[in-house]
Amino acid sequence: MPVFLAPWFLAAGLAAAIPVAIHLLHRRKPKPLPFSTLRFIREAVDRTRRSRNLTHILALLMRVLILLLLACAFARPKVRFASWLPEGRRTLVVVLDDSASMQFQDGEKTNFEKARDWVRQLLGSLAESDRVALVLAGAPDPWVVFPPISDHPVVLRALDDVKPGYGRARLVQVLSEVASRLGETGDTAGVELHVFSDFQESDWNATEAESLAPELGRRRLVLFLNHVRPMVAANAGIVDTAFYPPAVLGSGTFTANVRVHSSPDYRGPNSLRLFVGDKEQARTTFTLRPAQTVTESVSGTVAGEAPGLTGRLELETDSLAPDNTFYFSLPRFPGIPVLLADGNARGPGAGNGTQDTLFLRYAIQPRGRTTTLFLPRIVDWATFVSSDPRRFPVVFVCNPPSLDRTVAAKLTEFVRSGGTAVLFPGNLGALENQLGQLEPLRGLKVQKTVLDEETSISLVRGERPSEIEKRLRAFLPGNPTFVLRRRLLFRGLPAKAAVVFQYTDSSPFLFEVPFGKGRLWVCSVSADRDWSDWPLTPFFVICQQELIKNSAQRNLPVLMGRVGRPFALIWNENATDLDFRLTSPGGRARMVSVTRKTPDRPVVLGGFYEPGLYRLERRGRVTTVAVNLPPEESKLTSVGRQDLAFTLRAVPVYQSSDWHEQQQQLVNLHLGRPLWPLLLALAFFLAVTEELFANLRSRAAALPEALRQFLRRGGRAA
Amino acid sequence: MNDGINRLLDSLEIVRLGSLALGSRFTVEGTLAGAHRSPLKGFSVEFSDYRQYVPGDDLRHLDWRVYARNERLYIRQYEEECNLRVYLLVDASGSMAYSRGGVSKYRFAAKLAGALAYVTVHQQDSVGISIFDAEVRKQLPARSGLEHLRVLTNMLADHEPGNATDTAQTLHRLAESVRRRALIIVLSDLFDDLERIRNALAHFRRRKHDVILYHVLDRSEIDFPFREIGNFQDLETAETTITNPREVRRAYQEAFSEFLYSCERTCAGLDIDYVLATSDQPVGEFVQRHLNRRRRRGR
Repeated sequence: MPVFLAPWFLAAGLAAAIPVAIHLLHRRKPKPLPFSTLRFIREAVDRTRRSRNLTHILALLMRVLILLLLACAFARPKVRFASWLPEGRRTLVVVLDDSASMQFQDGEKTNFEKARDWVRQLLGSLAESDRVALVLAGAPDPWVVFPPISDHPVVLRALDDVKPGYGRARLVQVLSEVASRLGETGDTAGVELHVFSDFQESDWNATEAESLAPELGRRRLVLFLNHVRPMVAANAGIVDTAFYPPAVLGSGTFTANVRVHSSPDYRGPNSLRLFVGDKEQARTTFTLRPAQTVTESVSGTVAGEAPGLTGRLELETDSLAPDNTFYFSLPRFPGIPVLLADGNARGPGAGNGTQDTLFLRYAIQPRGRTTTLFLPRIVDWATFVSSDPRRFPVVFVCNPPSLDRTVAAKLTEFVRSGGTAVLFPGNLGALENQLGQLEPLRGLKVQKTVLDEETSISLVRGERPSEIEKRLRAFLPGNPTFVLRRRLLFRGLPAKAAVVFQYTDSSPFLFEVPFGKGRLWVCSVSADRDWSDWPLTPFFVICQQELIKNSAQRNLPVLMGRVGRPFALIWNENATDLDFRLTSPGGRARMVSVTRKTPDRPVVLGGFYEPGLYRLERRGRVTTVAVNLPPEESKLTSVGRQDLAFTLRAVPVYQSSDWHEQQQQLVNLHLGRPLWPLLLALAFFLAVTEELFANLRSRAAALPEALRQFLRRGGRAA
Repeated sequence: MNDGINRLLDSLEIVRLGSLALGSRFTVEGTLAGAHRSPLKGFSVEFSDYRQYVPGDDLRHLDWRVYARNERLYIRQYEEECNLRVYLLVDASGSMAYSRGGVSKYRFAAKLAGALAYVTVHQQDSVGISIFDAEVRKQLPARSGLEHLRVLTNMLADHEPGNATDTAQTLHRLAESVRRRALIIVLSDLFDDLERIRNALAHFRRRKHDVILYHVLDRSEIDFPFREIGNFQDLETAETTITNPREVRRAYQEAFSEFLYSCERTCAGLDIDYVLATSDQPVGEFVQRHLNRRRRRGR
């Protein structure tokens, strides 16, 4: 029912009787107008009598209606269209976005502070009996005040205590959980969900929202989307960083390839600084265009004997501070241990190997110099068979005398557990006869071919090239060429095998078979000069070194994670239940207990809610973990109002940009919308229609065309 | 001092009329030799026919060659050319007094009649006039000469329209009074029973008169451009009716156009030259345009 704010104006509706009275009582008699003859006027009057009467009645009705509408309009009626909305006590759930992007500062306050002020204004407008709940959309424990309570001071204190986080917001999930929890507590009809957010694209899952909307509509919830976003969002942030090498071996250099993204409103120069520890080591400047992602590289050096490398990368300060810093922690090793199993070496002094491993050792340690990069150890066959190779990530097996069941099982288990084994043939003939004993190579056909004379051959690109072949091609352009004397021909390669170059007859030169967590490599020629001159070429040196690096990188522990996401850490310890002491960047320490199914599985850690370097301790072993913002939070791209409205079309949605706009919406919703503009518009429309209607006949002032032609011809018919 | 034709027309219009000629489409009967064809046979320049000699005939017209061939006396006859008699019948009923701001219909008809009289006298022909409403109020027989023109135009200028109309009856009486074939020019708004008017005009045509009908109207009678509600009063009967012109305009225009088409069809059926003359036109130019068109069609 409409409510009249000025009902005394309804009395003016009596004025509607005036046109009727005028019509019935007033007979105006105009002064005589001399005319030549009434003959045609009377004829016209007779012809139009019926239509004129109809016109008069309709015009009278319209005039009466206009006056009634005007009287109603001045009485200022309001109509509450939301009849389904229960009257009386209101229930509100405030969902506050506390993601990292809400720390964007435009002016004196951050978006989060603006949102908090807005919530205070909303709470101030409530009646004492109204109930309020407070939920955070990005916090690990979002239920700050829930279920809704009438004690507003408690809610205000809780609101003062909340702080913005550094992770992503889960707006849709939180709304879904709120609706679910409200459903458990009672009737949800008319409950207002007030979401205060900058509505970043990364925080708003449109698909889930579209699925959730019918559920919200069914529960008759009212959704208020309150946009807290700056007019201009100029920001540049570090999205991601890739380090090469991914681990530091001894003392050396490393390079950080940093991806920087600029928001659509950002333009201008910026600089990137590299800090190792607290010492700035490098700086580069660059220019960003709007909505651009660039990759900038800075290099640093590391010295000393620290077990790890930590530091940070920093952009220049802008409106969103958290994404200007990227923390990193890289593993550091003294060198990669490599085991060279020599099939020919026997007896004392076998540790130096024979010609079978000579060239391999020279390739791993050029010119025989000891370096920290690779740490080779040569063992004779008997030692290899009796020892455990699993502390070496890579094992080179040269000219094995036998691949019997014991050795085959040993190598298979080594590969399965994550190691890399590289097999070279030799004069003992084990590979050509017993290769099929190995489980990863079931079905492989091997045939030894001895050439009649030395032949220079060129290797060509493999049909299924491995990653290593691509890297080799980057170092060594062109096809590798060397003199060949004999080789193994491989047929029936396993389905997952990848090839590193092949002969012109399509037989692979070297191939890789992934098995378990590791890799098994088989070469078609020996590692000495008996079979070919390959060991004398740079191709040989680079190939061996890349094999070792590739193997070592696969097992590197990752020490960098993201805020709010679980983090898998490789922790080599023979235990499944582990307790860690975790110290946050702010210095707060706490104990974290983790359970894993088997000792060889990584440890899954959580509880990283702010960016920085976390210290992880257990039994004297210390690891530093770097945690950074989720990459999506630095891309300040918001979802538009229309998109939100379309996604949530199944539920009543009210969107506003400030408190005043929302206040008007709340008034319209609860007290009703003013009807007088509609009534005035209707009265105006009727007045125009009445005027047009009354003048409908007079608009035919022009003479009919035939009569005009008749007059133009002076009265002669056509 | 204005007198005669100058009371009706200005000098420019008179000059414009000087070169015009008014004639009948048919033969006419005049008492004086003139430029117009006559139905009578006489002794003139154009040979027409032979007839037998009767005593009393002028022997100068005997054709002696015919007598020499067949010993019979024949008289040579020639086509007679006589002067034109023009009768102006001007409607001066109350409805002709109507005007909407400009010249009244009667005033326009008077100027039109004066112009035609001037053209007639200027070409040495005779012109007569009858000013009528329900009856003939003023009348002059057909004569020639400038003095006659002065009297005629003064009569037109002095007369004031009024009274009811009975155009048909008056035209019947006038048709009876004009005996010889002449050019009859009627100037009227024809606000009478059209069938009766048709009979009256047919009366003229039966008597072999050539008839021109100037249908004199005010432009507002056709357009009916009034906007405000009006108490319209008939100028002849003084009856009134109140109506909103905007509501009846289209119907009025339809009714009036039907009337105009009926007038035009009636005249066309009687071989009468029908000319619609609205009073908002300059008379001199209007007469010139009409007479030139009439001359191109053959008088």
